[in-house]
Amino acid sequence: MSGATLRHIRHVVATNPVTLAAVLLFAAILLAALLGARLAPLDPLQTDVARALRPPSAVNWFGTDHLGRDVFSRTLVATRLDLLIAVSAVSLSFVAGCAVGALTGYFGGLADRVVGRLVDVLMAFPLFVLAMAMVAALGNTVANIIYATAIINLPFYIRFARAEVNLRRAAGYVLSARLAGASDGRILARVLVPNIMPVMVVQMSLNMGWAILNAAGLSFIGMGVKPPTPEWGIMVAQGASHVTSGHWWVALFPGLALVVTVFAFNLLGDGLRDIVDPRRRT
Amino acid sequence: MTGEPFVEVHRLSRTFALPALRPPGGGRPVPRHLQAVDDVSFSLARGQALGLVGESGCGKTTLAHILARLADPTAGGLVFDGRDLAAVPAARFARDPARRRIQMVFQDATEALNPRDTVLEAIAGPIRLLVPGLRGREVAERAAATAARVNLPPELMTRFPHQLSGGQRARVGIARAIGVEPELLILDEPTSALDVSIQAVVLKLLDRLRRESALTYVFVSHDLNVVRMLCDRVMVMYLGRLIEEGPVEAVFRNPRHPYTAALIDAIPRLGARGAARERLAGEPRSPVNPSPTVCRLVGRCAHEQARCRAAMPPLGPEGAGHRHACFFPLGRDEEPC
Repeated sequence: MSGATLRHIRHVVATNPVTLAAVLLFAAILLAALLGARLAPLDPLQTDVARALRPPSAVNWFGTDHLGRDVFSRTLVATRLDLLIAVSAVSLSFVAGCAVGALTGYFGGLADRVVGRLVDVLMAFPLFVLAMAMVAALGNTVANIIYATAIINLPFYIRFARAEVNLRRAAGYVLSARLAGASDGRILARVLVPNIMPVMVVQMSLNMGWAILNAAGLSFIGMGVKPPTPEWGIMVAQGASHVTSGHWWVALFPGLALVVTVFAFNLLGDGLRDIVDPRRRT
Repeated sequence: MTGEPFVEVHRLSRTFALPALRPPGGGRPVPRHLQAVDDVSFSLARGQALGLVGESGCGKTTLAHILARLADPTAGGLVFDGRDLAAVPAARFARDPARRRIQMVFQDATEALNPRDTVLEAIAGPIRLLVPGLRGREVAERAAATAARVNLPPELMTRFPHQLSGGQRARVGIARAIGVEPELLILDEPTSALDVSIQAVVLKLLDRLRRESALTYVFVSHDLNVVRMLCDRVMVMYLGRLIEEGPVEAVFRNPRHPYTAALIDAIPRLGARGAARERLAGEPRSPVNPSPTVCRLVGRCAHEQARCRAAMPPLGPEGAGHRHACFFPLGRDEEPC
């Protein structure tokens, strides 16, 4: 099993070099998230007003911000927090959304209609404003940012899982599983959910980029992570006021980090679909 | 037939509710239902092969699903080996002890195989769930033995369905069904998705399996030649009703119902031109809200008379081996076939 899976992953990567690029990019981001604090050349919190707003140089690769902090170190260290928020939020909504969507899509009935309307109500809100409101009401801790991001992502997963399961619930292989003595629970867990995974994983990967932007956006408007903490959204927000005076590097580099991360997750989505879809196996 | 029948179907019906339709020009919406299976009764002895024929949409697949207990009838009884299974809802039948004994082979094996399961998993799955007390290894051994019975080479066991040919997929579908050693096997057009050359191979395989394991078959098909080759008895359905039923040779040589005769005459044959061919006019009537007092063939039948439009002909004569549902049956004993 694992040998064949590894071979399959190698095959996918070999036939699609973009996937390889995405995997490498993702590995680099992951490394930065895990080791960022150790790799950082300077202390990301150390202020030095005498060296404020210096352009990129050999000492400060990405320059320094208005308090003289090293932008490169801050961008690097921020990776962990941004990734943590996005991964936790998306995982939460993925698991909850798959479960609720699959159950309602399979069984239908009253619960399906009630959940469907609740999802409609949730989606009728401007989602970012909803997240803002939740963080404002609950207090801007990292945990609350994660919950808020998870909740505004949830409707998409519920709808998606529901539609995909509903589409397949009368499929030949579901009848065939029932004939083989499989109960409803078993059909859901062993047949339907694994079969919707390829599309769900792609959705998750695309969503991950969106969740990162969302978390950064909350911080950007001051509803997210609190200021001294290195975080891309805050850094862009603080740097934005210096762009007009010509100090472009303060906002550009954390912004680029965001762009590259979102891009990596989107590319990874395609590669993951190839890896988890057995029909692509040869 | 000796003793009590193995399968006894009594006045089985299945309707599907349709959205009510407002008549043109206003008025109350008329409730509508689609009569897929209408008052079907028959019995089947152990070891028999029963062919079920009829054109697309005549209800044969619905009847097959009910017999396989994948769908519930709206009315009627289904007694299997002395036990009324119509009382067990299809939703709970997966856990019923009779689940192992009644299996089905689906029309399109490509559709019926989980794309994520290897051949081994596809065949082992039903064995693991339905045959109690087998260990993991014994399940795999039995799956391998089943694969060998349907002539699937062992090297295919780790393949996924999309890596198999149509004939191989059909054999995996059959292996899935027979791995649990069922007694009643419902075959829903098991060869219609296959090339003609592969069809013959699969049909021979099915015939051999039946002889080896004394299986009882219900063979759904629109291919009359196949039914004639493989089955002992045949039932003809038209718009949900059973219109003729009897021993295969009797029905083929001497069809009593004009619809059966037309079906048989529609088999392409070399040489046999002209002579007394039964033909049908037009299209089948709608299966929605069918009239209970009109023969279903009215409007298509060349032998139609006033009586056919006043009452539904019952299936008879009662107790006879060869039954038909026509007031003016044909008699064609003399014609060689």
